[in-house]
Amino acid sequence: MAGMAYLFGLRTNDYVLLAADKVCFAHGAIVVTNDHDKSFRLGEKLMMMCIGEDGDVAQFGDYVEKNLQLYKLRNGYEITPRSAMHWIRKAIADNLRSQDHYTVDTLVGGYDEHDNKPFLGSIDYLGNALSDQPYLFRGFSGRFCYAILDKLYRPDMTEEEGHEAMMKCLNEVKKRFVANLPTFQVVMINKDGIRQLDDISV
Amino acid sequence: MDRYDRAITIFSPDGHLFQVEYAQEAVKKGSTAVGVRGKDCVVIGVEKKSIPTLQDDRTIRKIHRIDDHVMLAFAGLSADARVLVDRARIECQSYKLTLEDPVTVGYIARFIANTKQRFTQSPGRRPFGIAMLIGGFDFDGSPRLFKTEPSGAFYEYMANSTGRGEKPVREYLEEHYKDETIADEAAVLKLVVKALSQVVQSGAQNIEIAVLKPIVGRPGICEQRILPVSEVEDLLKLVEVESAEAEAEGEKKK
Repeated sequence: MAGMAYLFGLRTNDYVLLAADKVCFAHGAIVVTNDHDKSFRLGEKLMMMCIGEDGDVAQFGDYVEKNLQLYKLRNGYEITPRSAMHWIRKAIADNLRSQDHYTVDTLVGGYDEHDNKPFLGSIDYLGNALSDQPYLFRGFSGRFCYAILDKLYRPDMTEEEGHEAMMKCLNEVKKRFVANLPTFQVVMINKDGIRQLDDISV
Repeated sequence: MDRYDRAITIFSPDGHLFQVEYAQEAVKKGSTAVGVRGKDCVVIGVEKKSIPTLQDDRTIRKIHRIDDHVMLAFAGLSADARVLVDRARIECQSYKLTLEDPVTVGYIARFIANTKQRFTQSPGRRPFGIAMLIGGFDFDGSPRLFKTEPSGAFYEYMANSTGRGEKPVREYLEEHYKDETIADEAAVLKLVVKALSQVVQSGAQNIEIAVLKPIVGRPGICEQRILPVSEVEDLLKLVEVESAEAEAEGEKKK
């Protein structure tokens, strides 16, 4: 889905870096706010970024969040990032050909404590899932970013290098995309947990 | 007379619902559970029955966490408890999904009690053979403890027990529940161990204890800790020493 919003995900050997714009649009052309949180915390080291039809995003995000919390309470341990991604994919696919399907695109980032490595995956509103990818983007402006990361990506990038590569992408979005996306929220997930980094203004 | 204990929905002429009372008997046969509401923590302790040597003891759970900030223990039929615990867990999440706030302990206790009550008032059903001690924290940070019975009755307590050793344990708690004995986690743990050892044969393998506490600096988020066997052992030793000292003191006075 080529919406106006933008999601960024980068996975290296040690961490996952997720970013999302904070804009909320109305009528396709009005910026309602620059302070719209698009993240959903699914676990101690698991995060989902969600864009799409705004009502669907809120509804679907909460639905996922609560179901995975229920999983944790029932089993006494948290769901792995990989299983979470499959669960989310199924939730979208099950509703796909119905009146109440969810028009959402998501990035799922987390740290897998069994394999001891970070995980990055995406699911789109049709139920297409990509699991365990080095870098992923969602939203129209994601299309310019694959080329950037094709060039810059190394699996052993440090946090600073990852951050730099992300900035290159965000600046490209600023330069080439027609809509105004001024602020981004950034989240770093590694073996120590989730760290909310400072918002970025471009 | 014996006809009245068949269907649960039929009263006996002197006003009893026999099936519900039989369910209460099942609770009395269950292993002992005790709950204490401290100043800044809620502690639940249970008696663990000895199991066959080849059985995996992780498959026996008597203390369940139903949400981040609520846990419960039960006495009675564990199969019934499993089902009810799952319903409570689903309600906790579904409540948060519709209202954004987490459940209060009182709300989820009432929900469990309501579910139990429904099973005493329609034909073809059987009451849940369990009593539950439900402990946790409300969103304002205050600790709460509730007990529900098979009939669907529920009450709030500062400390209570259920199961086989209900009476002696409750009497112990009534006598010893004081400001000093609930001041902090260590004090409450001691109180719980002492109360349990009224009825449980000594040995750390026979006791399971869980502590629920809010995490300092993260309001609304709680941490549950199941005490490892070694820690229960230390507690038992401490309690033993203290009671020996108290006894010696008593001798001196005589």
